[in-house]
Amino acid sequence: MLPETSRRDFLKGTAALLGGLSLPSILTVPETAGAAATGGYKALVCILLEGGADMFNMIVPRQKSSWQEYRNVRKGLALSRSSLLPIDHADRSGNNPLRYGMRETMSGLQRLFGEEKLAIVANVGTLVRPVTLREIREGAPLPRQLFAHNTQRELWMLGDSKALLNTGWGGRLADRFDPGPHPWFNLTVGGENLLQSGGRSAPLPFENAEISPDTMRRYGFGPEAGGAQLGRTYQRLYADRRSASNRLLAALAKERMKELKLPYRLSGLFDGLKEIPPFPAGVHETGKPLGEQLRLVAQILSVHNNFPGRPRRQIFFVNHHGWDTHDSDNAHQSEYLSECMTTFQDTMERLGLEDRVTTFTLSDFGRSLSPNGAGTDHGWGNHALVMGGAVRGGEIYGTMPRISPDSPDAWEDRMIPTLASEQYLAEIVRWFGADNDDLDVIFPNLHTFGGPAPEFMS
Amino acid sequence: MAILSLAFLSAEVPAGRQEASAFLARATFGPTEEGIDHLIGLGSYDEWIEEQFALPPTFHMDWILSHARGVNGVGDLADHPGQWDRYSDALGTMQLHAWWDIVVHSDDQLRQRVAFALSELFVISKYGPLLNFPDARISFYDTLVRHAFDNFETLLRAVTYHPAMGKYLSYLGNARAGVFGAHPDENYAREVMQLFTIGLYRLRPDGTKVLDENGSPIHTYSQEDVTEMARVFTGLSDDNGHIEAEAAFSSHHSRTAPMRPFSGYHDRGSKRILGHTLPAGQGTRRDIRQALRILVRHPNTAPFVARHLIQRLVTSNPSPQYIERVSRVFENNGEGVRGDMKAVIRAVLLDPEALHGRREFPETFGKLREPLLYISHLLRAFHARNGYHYLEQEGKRLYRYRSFNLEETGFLKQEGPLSALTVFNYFSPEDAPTALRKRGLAAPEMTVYGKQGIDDVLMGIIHKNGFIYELMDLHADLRIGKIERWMKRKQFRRALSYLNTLLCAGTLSTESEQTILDYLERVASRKSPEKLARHLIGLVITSPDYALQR
Repeated sequence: MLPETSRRDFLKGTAALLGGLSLPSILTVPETAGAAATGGYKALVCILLEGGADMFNMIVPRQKSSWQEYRNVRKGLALSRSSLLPIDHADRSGNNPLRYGMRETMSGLQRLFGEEKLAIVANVGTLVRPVTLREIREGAPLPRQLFAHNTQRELWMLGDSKALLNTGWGGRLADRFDPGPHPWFNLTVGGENLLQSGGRSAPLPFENAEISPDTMRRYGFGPEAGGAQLGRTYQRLYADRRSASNRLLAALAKERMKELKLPYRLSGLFDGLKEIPPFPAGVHETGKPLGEQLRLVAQILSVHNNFPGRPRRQIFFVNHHGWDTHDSDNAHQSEYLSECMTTFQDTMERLGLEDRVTTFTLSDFGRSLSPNGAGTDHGWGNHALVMGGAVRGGEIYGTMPRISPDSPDAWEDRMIPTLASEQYLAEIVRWFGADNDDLDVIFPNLHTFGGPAPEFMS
Repeated sequence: MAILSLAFLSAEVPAGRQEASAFLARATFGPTEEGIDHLIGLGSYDEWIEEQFALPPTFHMDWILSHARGVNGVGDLADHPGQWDRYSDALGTMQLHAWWDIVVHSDDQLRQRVAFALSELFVISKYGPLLNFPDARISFYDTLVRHAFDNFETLLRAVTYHPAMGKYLSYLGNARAGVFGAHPDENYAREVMQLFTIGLYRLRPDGTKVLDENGSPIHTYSQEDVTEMARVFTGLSDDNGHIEAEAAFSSHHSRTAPMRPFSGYHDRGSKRILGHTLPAGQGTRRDIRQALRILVRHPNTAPFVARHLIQRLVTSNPSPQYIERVSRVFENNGEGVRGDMKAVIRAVLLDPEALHGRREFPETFGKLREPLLYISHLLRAFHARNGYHYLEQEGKRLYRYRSFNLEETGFLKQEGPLSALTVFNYFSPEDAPTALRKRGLAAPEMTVYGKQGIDDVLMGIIHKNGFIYELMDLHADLRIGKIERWMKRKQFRRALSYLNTLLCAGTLSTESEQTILDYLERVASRKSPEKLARHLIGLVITSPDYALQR
């Protein structure tokens, strides 16, 4: 339930705005239900590295012979061995006896790895079943359109590399955890996305940490443009057209009406917003800089208890553009990612949320082993990063492939994943509160790989 | 049989002002009263199209060279091409100002509208590697303007040789394996197939996917095709005497003249592409010519391009029959020519479904307007007056010209000319909110609507004193005297009917009309005619009825 005062305020605001319109279902504060969503608050922060991040140039072998292999294939793009920032992983599995280092631009993440707040999950990718090079050559089934940006990103977001479903795994999770289509489960600061689009639910977009009850202003109907009565007329036009016979028209009107009501449902959300200093701004970022997006996530997290119904689970989507490095290496991107993730983790600690928030990366695909000159082309398997107090950090999970075309995991110039994207995602979702039944529904092909793995979450 | 009856309905004569307005919404940056008069006067869509085909193109570079006057001792750009480097930040803004001025004022509306649609197919952007090179972007856009009515193959070749595309998709300075890298850059090889011509899956001429025996779509190309195709686009660089990418883009000339081959860097081996073989020993030009021809002749390209143009100009969810009719014209213009853009554009705009879809397919016909087109229409319909603007960089005034000062259409995730975040454009052909996607319907433009659509910007322009107008530093005075006079005389219905035709092509629902009239009646005694006129225009153009172009 809302605290009494804010509930009153929000009813007042609603009535004032909606005027002649019939009061919608906003009076029923949604219940946060579902066995899976019990316990304390937890949030996932998904950072999409859009374009296909070259993690093979961010986590690099440090042992002389394996570095030499990497050097031979990466040629001019290879990082010098002495420049690597050493990371010392525990190797509890015994799968990864060699030593690795991070790109010198990534000192922040190196520190977090040392503090066991960051884990590396090695060579994950889209798979319909585990495959070896020989099986591929014999025609084993592969995910559709490997190496194409949009389809591969889609498969990651579907959480279903067979593409049997047409909803995102975050959206299905919302449907599963949270019967009742209330929009505070999936939140996005990185735009519309398939990951968070479910059967009933759609992500709630945020552009800044301000929701003002005088919100008609942002629709162009503030006092200086005509004010309340004009705004009500505008709303009436949309309310009526929700039943238009043209489907596109009706869909637009419904969406707009939802948006128009939202600020009143969320009025007071940012009361008590914690002061969060600016994040690194980046240089010439495409789209909204990652730092701004992560800062906004931190701001929302700082007031998560103000959401109506006090949701116990939330997923945030963040989109970091600029990783399709055909023509460059990723010195800038890796540095900016490291700075922003580190600032975010430090902020979570200041807010006392470090054990409740898990941040993880997801990307279209890894990149080709060999360079095309100044950059690399689209690949397949890739490493992922998972960060937070609940992460069993300081460790490399899965099996680090040899960075070489002679590697048993290499398919010519691309890396065959040795972990399925579903396994990686399911392990995160398991921590988030999903039991085996939930996981079967959310990741329908997970059973092919034997369940979530490896156990990188506490 | 809807299609048979449609065929009989097909008429190339606008039946009235509303039909004329609907047509001009598809073929221009927004109908005006004079434009409607002119079309009605011609009495024939076909003649209007022919007239447009015959108009000389308005080039954006020419606009800049002839409009921007240097001030403060800064010389005109035409005489001082070095300023493109020196003032690249400011000139990036001027690119946008030029675009707005041209789409609002130029006579060659059809060409400009098609060029804009093509800029959403052959995507380059100010975001990414072209950030500091406005001249490359403008010159690329002019390439689309120049070839909008040409042959598709010629257009694709011009796009391929343009240094802006070379830089954006990183094949400028690309060399055969072993020179700079272990393999040639695959970026353009992949996207020229996936995004510019054939797409991911095999299509029938009607745009539906061909399925295999398991009911799965069939890939058009494999990674091997990409790898082979990448070898075609080797040995090209800009015209500065060096192939190395680091040396590229160093002069205005190198950024605007077609790229040229550098022998010794091209992969001269034979190449196997989509089942065809390019023989060994060929140079860059011959390889590219043949590879592009393979793509243009691929059975997918006709429906792929047909759907793109239909979606950008007419409707988000064309029937397969509509796509097929346009595809067939792409394949053969009637004289055995493939890819005749004039014939294709005519087929898109004059198809019975385009002209009568509103009645024949009331539940699915139409497209949500793109944010840029909302604003261009508002400015055109009310003959917005712009003002003198000084272009500045670091506080220094550089050039003076008339401008609306418009750049993009909103603050976040909305449209600007050549401003998509990636080569995948602002939206993809199948994009739709969940509710529509479940019905198999697309509404791509909704992706860029953001939270408040662009209603804030529209109302800012309409009311002038809105904070948006000031924040965006706009200069776009709408001329609304006619509406004001009607308001003064309380002729609300007359004004509304005028706007319904001019803006909505008659699609305002009776319910919406009543809601708007009720508002006017209620507040008339308390508001000046000018305020009332502005409110009325605002309500019509921000209405959901207007949002759907149909």
